[in-house]
Amino acid sequence: MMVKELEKSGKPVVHITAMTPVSQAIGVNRILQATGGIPSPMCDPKASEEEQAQQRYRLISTAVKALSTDIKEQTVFY
Amino acid sequence: MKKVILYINQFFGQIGGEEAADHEPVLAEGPVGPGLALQPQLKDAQITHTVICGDDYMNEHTRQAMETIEGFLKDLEFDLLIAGPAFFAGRYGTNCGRICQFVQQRFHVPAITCMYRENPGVEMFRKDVYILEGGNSAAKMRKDLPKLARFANKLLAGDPILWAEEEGYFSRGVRAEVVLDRSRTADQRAFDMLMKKLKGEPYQTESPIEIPQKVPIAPPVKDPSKATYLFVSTGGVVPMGNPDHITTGTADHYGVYDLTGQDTLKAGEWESVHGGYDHAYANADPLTHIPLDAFRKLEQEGKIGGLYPKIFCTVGNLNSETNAVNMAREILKELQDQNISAIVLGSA
Amino acid sequence: MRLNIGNFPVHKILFGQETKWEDGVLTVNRQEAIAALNADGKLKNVDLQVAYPGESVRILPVHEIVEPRAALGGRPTFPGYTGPLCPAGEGTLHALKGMSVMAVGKYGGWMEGILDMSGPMAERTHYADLINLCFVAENVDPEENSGQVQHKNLNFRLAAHRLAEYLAQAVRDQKPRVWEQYELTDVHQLHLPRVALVIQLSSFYDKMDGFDDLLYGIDVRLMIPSLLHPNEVLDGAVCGSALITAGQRFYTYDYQNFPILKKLYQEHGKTIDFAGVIISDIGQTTPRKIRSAIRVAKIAQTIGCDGAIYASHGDGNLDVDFFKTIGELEKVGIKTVGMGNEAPGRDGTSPIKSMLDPVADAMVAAGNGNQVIELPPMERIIGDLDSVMRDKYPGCWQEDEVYGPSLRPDGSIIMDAHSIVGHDGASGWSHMTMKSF
Repeated sequence: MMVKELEKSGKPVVHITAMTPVSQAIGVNRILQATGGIPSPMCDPKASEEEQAQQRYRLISTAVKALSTDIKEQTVFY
Repeated sequence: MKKVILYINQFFGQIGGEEAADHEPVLAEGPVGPGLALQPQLKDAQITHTVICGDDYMNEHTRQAMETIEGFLKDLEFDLLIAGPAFFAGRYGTNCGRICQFVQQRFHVPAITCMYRENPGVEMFRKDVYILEGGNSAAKMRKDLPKLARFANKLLAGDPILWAEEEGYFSRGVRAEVVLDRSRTADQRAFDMLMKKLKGEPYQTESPIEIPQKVPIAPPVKDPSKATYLFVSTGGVVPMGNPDHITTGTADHYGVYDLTGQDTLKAGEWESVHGGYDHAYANADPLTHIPLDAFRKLEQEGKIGGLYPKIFCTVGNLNSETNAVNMAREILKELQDQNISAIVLGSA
Repeated sequence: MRLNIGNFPVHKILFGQETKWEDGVLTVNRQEAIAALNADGKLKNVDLQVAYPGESVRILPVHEIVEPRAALGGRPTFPGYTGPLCPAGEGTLHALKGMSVMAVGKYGGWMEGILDMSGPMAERTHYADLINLCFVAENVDPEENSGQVQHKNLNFRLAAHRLAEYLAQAVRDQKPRVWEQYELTDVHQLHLPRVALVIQLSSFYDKMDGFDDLLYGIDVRLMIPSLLHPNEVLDGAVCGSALITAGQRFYTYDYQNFPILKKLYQEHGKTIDFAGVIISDIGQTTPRKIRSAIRVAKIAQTIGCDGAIYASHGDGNLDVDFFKTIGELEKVGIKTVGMGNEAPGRDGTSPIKSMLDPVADAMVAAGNGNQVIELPPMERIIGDLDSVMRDKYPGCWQEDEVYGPSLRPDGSIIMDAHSIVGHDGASGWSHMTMKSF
């Protein structure tokens, strides 16, 4: 709901979430599958520190890519 | 005697709270937790077994959870599965919808659940599953159980299921014709509706018009290396001590935190106040919700113009549309003079 | 302008020596009746059959339905159609009530319908409540049974009106026990809300006469909305078409007895000031639809309306007219209620209309145009059962993955509401609504 309202400003918004189906059901346009689960969406807390840092870097890079992608319909990025 | 299976989470299954949300499915004989109060309300039906599963386990290991539960159920005879009630618990509601859908598809046995109207499980599963409208917290248990029992009794007896409003379930999105009493002809109904409309009294249209709310897709960022990104988090991670007093659920405001000069976030300086998940990971490492280090690296490499210095943090747990929309509007208002190119929103 | 309708109830129809009405029994001289309906000899193999409510009878294909009436004072019952063109809406009519004249052909298809007098269909159409005197016939000219010409049903439609006029001659000189009186008395000093009824006529055809509704016997194609006195509608100035699927069509019988029009009359001077009837069309281009919407709103504004009821035929491109017209009315402050159907697809999950606009915030759902219905075999058939598979009816199918063919070997039928004669009853008959499940 917040995502949709933010996008009404005309600025692209990407929603990083562990629960993509909810985001899809709500009608968010750009959705990015979180790396970890709900308690730790940005990385897998069981991985090593270096790996976690890499996961976060990869995830945010994908977020930047999603925001630069011209989409015509709701899209889930991975 | 008809046989009923109950599905509940680790909390209502009396295994534990958030710390036990990772618990694998277990099968108990007879009714457990809310099942004890539900059993006497069922007519000619017995809760033979209760499946209990941790919310996180089901959510993050859905396939394994389903396989285990399938193993539990495949040798049991049952006529109905009841899940929940799940109130306003997002993961629990989603899992209840998920298990109902699975049982219906796999065993061709009806499955019903009950939750609050804003539980995300409603939108996700209402088309496939009868979800009764329930209260927003476990305090409403005593009101929700009779609803479940009444509907279950009807299904078990093979009575016709009337329309959503009449039965108290969330519409499955199917419109169908209903024959009314002969006196309720369309001319009388139209005239009465017009009189109410003319007098400014409330009236109810018979054909509600629901336009799926779509937000126009915003144009993409042209050049990320010149763009400024705003980070908004609904993951509930805030500076230690929660200076803005953000509530653990149904939050109606957010905190704004300036990260200028910081390259990373340290444990002990931040904490999670989100009421919907185990805080162990977030408290041990706030980067699990606020990936500041990743943004800084992209800045240094020149791949993005920059991260907007302030981040906006709140709790997404149990939030209503009204609160969410209001907070989004306030954020936009606060930033209307700022040069922001795009927004990254991280949620739990 | 005052219209008096004297009513003669019909409980039984017999065939006999003389066409007469006595204590609710209508006796019909077969030969005379056939000669009257087939005055120009364009029909052949004409037969008369009676169908009673509750009987195990299936009637198909139904082309037109008319209430028998005689206009006193030398004018035709249907001005411009069964006789010379003259003003309607004033004077005295004698009417045979509780019955209809039903035109039944051999060839179905396209827009035609089926009527069962008992079973699950019967509770979904007001026509199963009437004693229906059916004439079954074929066209003499084989050309009339083929191509576009067939679908006009011109001979059947005219014959139905002629038979209706002929039968009511039986009560022309008798004294009715029950009177209905219609007069738009001046009630402006009561300061009641002014309300207009907007009726969407069937007017699809741009290029060819013969399909659309008739106004004073003339095809209304290319019409622009105009203002009628409600009595004109009740008194045969508007007659039915060969268009609009049977489930949704307003037949002549519906115009003669329009329930919401009668309801507004009933309330005239009590709770409302009935301002008149605006007839609207169904243009086949967007500019025509918009022009009509604007014209309806301007007429309503000109006659000082506060409110309006819009009665729509069915769904499809008509939905554009429906929403645009309601939009224009609301825009000029006229509070409007829409009466129509929904068409959410056979599984009920599609949008309820082909166009949606939340401006229509007060709608009465008279039925589901896509409702699938299973009908048991009937003992007696009036018409031709084979027409179900041979000719394409609007709500029937030759083959369907889910439902199989519409007509089964035992004579049972599965079809949707488009083929049910009078199903939607959006003129006000319907005691059905739509709900979310």
